[in-house]
Amino acid sequence: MLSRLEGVSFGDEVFSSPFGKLNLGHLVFLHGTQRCLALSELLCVQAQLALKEGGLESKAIFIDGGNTFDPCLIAEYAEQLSLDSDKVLENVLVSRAFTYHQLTSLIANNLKPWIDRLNIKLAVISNILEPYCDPDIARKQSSIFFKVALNSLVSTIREKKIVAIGTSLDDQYVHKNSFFEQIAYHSNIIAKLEDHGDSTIVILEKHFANPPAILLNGCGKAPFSNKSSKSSFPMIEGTFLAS
Amino acid sequence: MSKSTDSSKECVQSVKGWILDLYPKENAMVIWIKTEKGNTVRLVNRWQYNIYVSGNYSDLIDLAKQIATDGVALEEKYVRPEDSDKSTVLRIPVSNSREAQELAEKILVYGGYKRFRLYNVDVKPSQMYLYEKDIFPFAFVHATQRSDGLEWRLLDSQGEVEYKIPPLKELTLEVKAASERIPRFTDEIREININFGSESIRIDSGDEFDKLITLVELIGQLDPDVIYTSNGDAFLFPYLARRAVQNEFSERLVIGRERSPLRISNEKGTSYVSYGRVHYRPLPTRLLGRIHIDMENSLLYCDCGLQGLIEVARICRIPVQRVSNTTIGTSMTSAQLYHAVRNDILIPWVKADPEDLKTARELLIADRGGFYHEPKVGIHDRVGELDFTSLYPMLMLKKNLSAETVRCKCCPDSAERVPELDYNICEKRKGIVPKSIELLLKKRTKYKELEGRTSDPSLRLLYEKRRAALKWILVCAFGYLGFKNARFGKIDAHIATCAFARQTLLKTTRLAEKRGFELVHGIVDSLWLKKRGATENDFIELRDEICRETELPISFEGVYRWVVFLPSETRRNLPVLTRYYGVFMDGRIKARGVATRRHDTPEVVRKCIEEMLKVLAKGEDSSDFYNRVPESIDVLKKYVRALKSRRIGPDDLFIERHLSREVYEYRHEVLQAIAAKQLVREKVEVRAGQSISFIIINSENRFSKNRVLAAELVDEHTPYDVDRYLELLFSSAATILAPFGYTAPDLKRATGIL
Repeated sequence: MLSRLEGVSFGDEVFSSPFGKLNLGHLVFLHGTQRCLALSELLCVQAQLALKEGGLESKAIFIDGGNTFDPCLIAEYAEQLSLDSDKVLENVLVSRAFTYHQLTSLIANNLKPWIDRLNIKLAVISNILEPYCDPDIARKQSSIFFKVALNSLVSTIREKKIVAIGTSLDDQYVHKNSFFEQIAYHSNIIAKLEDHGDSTIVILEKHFANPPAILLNGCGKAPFSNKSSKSSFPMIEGTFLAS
Repeated sequence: MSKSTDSSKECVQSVKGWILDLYPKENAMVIWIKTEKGNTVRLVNRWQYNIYVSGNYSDLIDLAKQIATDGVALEEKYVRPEDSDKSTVLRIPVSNSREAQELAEKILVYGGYKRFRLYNVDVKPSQMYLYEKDIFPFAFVHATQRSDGLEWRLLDSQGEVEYKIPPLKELTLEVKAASERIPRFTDEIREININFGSESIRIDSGDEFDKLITLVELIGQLDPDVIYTSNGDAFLFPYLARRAVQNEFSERLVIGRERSPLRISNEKGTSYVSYGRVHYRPLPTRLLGRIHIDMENSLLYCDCGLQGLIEVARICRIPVQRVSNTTIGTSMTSAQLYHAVRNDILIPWVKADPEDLKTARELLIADRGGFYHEPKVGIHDRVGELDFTSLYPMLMLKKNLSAETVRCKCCPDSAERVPELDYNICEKRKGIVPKSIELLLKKRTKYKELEGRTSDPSLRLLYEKRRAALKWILVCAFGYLGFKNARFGKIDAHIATCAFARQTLLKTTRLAEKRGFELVHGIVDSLWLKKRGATENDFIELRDEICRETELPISFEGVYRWVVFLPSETRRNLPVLTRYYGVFMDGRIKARGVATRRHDTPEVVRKCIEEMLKVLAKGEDSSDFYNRVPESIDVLKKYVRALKSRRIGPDDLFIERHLSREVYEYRHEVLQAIAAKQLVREKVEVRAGQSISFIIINSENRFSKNRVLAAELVDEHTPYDVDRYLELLFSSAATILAPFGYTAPDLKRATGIL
């Protein structure tokens, strides 16, 4: 049975509250904007914290399906949390997939052995939909491989009791195909992020603690990096909607 | 008009000549030979194309039972280039590429997408035949018919630089449709023009049926080896095929040497992304036994001519016709596939091996691209430029950088290490990538030497074309190491090459600094250096020292009288690495990143900026340069007057832009999308990746459709938006004069517009 206490949080209390802890054995899917990348990288840092600090005392694996991983962001978060950035960077393991075959291979063949070898508790699969939606490839074939990858991911999450974060940074991939429905079915939490200038609205589309119906008023600090302004924690409108 | 003898029906026992074309047909390969007498001979060789499957032994046995076809057998092959031992794989004969693809998909399904991996599925049979027989297009060969098939004797060498090409019969074909404006497939043929040597033939009499008959008869009589068209792939041949159907002539429309008529294909061309840009390639029309070159659809032909195409075909072992209408990467890959096949290494159908796991810290260090040193914005006197020759391919060759050699499993303690990253490099085997570029690099150097030695201008041009073609392939070789679909590429090898390149440039900079030079600008494989009082000889001595120390060829491009490094258009204090212009001591102007080099610059702007640069180039040094600025503004005034008085013709106003998406996917009314929609309304097929030309007629018009006019709809009465073209002119002029404080409004004031 999963421990209710074991999980990882985004760190900031206001921002974390609608999500709660991201529990071991759960799949969380974030989609909508580039901010999903920032959130998933933040979790790679948070996961390294002690249990009492909302972490998992674990290294993190980042499987990059869109060549979007930004190590500078990891270093930035580490510094904000007064952690040794070199050490934090050493504890995030990255592998990039440039085709859907590679992404499928990483998820279906490599992820489980890596989790065992490195005692991983958090895995991020960024741009999980994008390689399967490449316009140059036959959709029929990529759909089959997506199923293979997703089934394998779900079984790894359950068997190895890790937190897995899937992201899709561009909603054109979410709206255009049935991949989203498939991943949504298996996800415990789904959140859509919408950029509104310097703030981001998070729409909680699905939560395992159904229905949370959280509506926060006012503003809260959100753990997003804003690269252009170099301000790491821009304000975010705290409107969270439950579907 | 000369008639040629087609010996295709003769029973040939033995023939000597050049391989002109080859293609698969019914479990055989058809090869056309151009003999020394100028005849063409058709040879047929029974030959089997195979695909391979790897997997668990019992699964392979099970699969073999399921397939139960003649020729299915177990074989020993290397399934990965890094393997030290061969694996047992299943060989399955197939009759053609389509069957290979269909069977491969069935096998994947049968294996639940996990049990089997497939190989050699999508290699073109003609290329596989060339690899297996160890021959190449336009090779001089001796073929002998034996009871067990054809025997090939190669009387040529790929490494040869002064090889002979047979005299080829070349024909240019042009077909005009009856419509006045945009030709459509439904229009009748108005006339067909054929240029053959010095002869021009116009087919314009009789009805459409007669014209088609005459065309086919003439092609048969003239029997050309090469047919050139303009838009043959996108329009001319599909149009002829449709007109043939309309006239119930489709079974007789034979343009190739093989008696198979041209057909209407239901397949569409392809839009693809390369270096972040969408390109479009129409479906190529292959003329069996001849070489069709669509001059509008062959980058390599445009740059390097037929000689360049033949050079690539020979060295990459890929039929000339395919070289002309495929990407340079495909040709380069063919050279790699040859080495794989000759070494019993199977060619994966899909690349599924991902990047090795690395820490974020490692990635931070590793993934940094090439060397660059930002220039100081402004004008610099007496700057010398040194460029490494094919730096990246040279490093790949010398350092043995390939997917299977970087971080190989067999030599973790190798003495060969990647700088900064400490990755090991294999010491036991030479990689497929270095093997495939070795000959290209050697030949490129030889052609450069020959170019310098010969006094015959036609020979010099020939060597130049061949060298340029090889350069294209080499440029592509590095990019393909990191390309997602490259068969023998891997991101770690790409990263390693960049690390070696950075190290080389740093070392070179230190050598220059020791000699008192200051680094003004550096990017990837080029350095701009200056030293007070330095002569050309000082630069040459430095070049020689760099050559000795790095063991890499580097060329001295010359000393600039002055060179201007330009700032960003949005942030005037920031330099742009690839935006500069300057003039060498011998008066040559070199410009990068300015309007004269941009594809979307209208001719009127290009001409103006070129003229302004010529005026500035008269400046002997920076102070003289400043004196020339007013004169360059006079040039600008001249063009402003011409634009305002509407004396500029449509040809000088066209703006060409790429469609980065399908027309219906544009959400905003950008100019190229408006022009594309106009073409779609005229029933023209427009696809993502195509270039669209248009004239801006009224950029402020409230109805977007009235803002521009597609080039195809323009006539001599088409008006143009003077203000918009003036804006383009001022913006381009301001770019080159930006370091000297000029902005577009300043230039408007100086020319009396404001």
